[in-house]
Amino acid sequence: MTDPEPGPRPALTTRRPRLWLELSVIVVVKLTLFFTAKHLWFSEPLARHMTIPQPQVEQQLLGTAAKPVPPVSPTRGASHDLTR
Amino acid sequence: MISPDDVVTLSRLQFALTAMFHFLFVPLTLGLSWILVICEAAYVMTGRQVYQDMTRFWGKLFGINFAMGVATGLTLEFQFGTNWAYYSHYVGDIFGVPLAIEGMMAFFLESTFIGLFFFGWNRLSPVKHLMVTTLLALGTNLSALWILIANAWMQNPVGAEFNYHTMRMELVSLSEVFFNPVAQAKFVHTVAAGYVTGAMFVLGISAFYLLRARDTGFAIRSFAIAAGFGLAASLSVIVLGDESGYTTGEVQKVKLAAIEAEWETHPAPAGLTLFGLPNQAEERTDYAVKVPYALGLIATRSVDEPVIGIKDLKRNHDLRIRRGMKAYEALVKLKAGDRSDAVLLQFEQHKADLGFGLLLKKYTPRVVDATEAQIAQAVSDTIPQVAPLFWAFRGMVGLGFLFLFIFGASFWYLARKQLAPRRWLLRLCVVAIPLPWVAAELGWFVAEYGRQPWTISGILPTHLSVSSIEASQVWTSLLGIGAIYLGLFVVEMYLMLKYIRLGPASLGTGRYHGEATTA
Repeated sequence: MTDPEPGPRPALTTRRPRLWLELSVIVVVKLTLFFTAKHLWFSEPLARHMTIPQPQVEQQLLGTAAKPVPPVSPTRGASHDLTR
Repeated sequence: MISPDDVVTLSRLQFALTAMFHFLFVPLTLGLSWILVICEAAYVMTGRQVYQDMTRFWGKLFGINFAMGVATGLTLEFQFGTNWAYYSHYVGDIFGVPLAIEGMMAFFLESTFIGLFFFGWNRLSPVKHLMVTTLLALGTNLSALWILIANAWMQNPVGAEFNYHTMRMELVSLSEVFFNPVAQAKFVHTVAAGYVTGAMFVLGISAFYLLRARDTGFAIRSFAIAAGFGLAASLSVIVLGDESGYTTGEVQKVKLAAIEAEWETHPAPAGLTLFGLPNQAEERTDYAVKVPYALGLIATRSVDEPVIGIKDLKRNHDLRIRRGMKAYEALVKLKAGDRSDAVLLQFEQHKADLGFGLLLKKYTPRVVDATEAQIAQAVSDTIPQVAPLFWAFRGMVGLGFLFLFIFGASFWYLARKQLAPRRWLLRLCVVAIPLPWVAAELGWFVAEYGRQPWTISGILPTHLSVSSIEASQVWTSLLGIGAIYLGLFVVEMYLMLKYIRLGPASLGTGRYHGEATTA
């Protein structure tokens, strides 16, 4: 077992990997991607704040129709129209 | 095979993908945080620079993992409202508290202390910095507790009851939710699995440096800490896994029977099927290799309590579905405005089985008019596919014992100063680095797949939990999230491998492998 030898300290500071900068950029890019994903695919949740209107719940659980609640349109409306 | 327009299966797949990806980061954070505490405590006690370097280097890998993993669970929350609206409505009153506490833990406690950990080395005294590291470890572990409390409630929904006025489960006892026996067993088993992951990570990378004969003083100390911590953690994960299995046997008898492929209720104490080929169509296990009495002793901790087999459980479910039909009938009348005593009594008498009645919605929208064949189909649905659970569980347990062997052998040879010639062991340590993740994901698969066909056990069937959305929507978000996560995984692996290759030289202290030559 050998301890690290305290040798002459090389001038590494300038070429050291700038990890924290890299990680900060990654976190920012990641959050941007997540919130873009939210905007694109999850921006109109049926259950906002984990509740939905009671008639819809009753329709889902007690209704007799095969597909009681009309599906949410995959097109998310004006905010997703990139041509505007 | 997944049907391309099956919203339920696609939503499950998306949630599973997201949760399993998120859980790639969690166990390493849990385990590595305590290894940092041990390294830094050694530095504070001995004053030796190498222990501070160890804390900083492993802390750097901890930081990469933390940064890559933070917020990867956010997409789960996005899915709750969009894909799982009825589930969200049903559980909203119960999930709010633990999720809010978890959010505060994760964003305030962890974020504060992780900042102090990385940027406080030159600003805090060694003892104060050690306190910061300890609080960071406590924070990361405690934030896991709240999520597991929420998950445990889905497995064993205690402390809540259905309110037909609001059509959702409502909190009756917060303490019952917090002290849910499933939550306690799940928490300790999960964090112990995280400790194994952290220990194997450090052990394997240290073994890699030892095989390359580089930074041996640093590596051997890291190896020693990982071997000791990992040995304790792997023993804990086995013992606590046994506790988790016992709790499952108490409150999730279907899951236990499926895991063990117990089709019949055998006289107590039941034998344990080590291996075999579960045959769901014929309800038997072909070529079963059994250990007499073992399952009964493990699962019930008694010699006279039987482990209920799948066939008997199905008979019980048949009765519960029929009672659930009565609950459903009464609920429909209540919602139509009939609050007569007879209807209220009928609902009160059968409401515990309402969820079983709801299983019939898959086959007949009116439920109360279900035929015998439809009831039989619903009964069959109450049993998840046995073979995947049987093998996943055995895979997890087998890996658990492999970890015990690796940590035990490492600790033994290190203590006897015979590690260096055991290159096979060092190579095994390197190869085993990814295996704790495999075990953890298998464990989650057993927990979640074994809960089917429910999102909330016995209360809300999975097929009624999803929103009325179109399959194309789920496909688009599934592929999009998959692409994002694949990209994140590639970046994580790139950064991890880059800093592992650099080793402690990445600290730029001038004391480690390769630094002098590059000066």
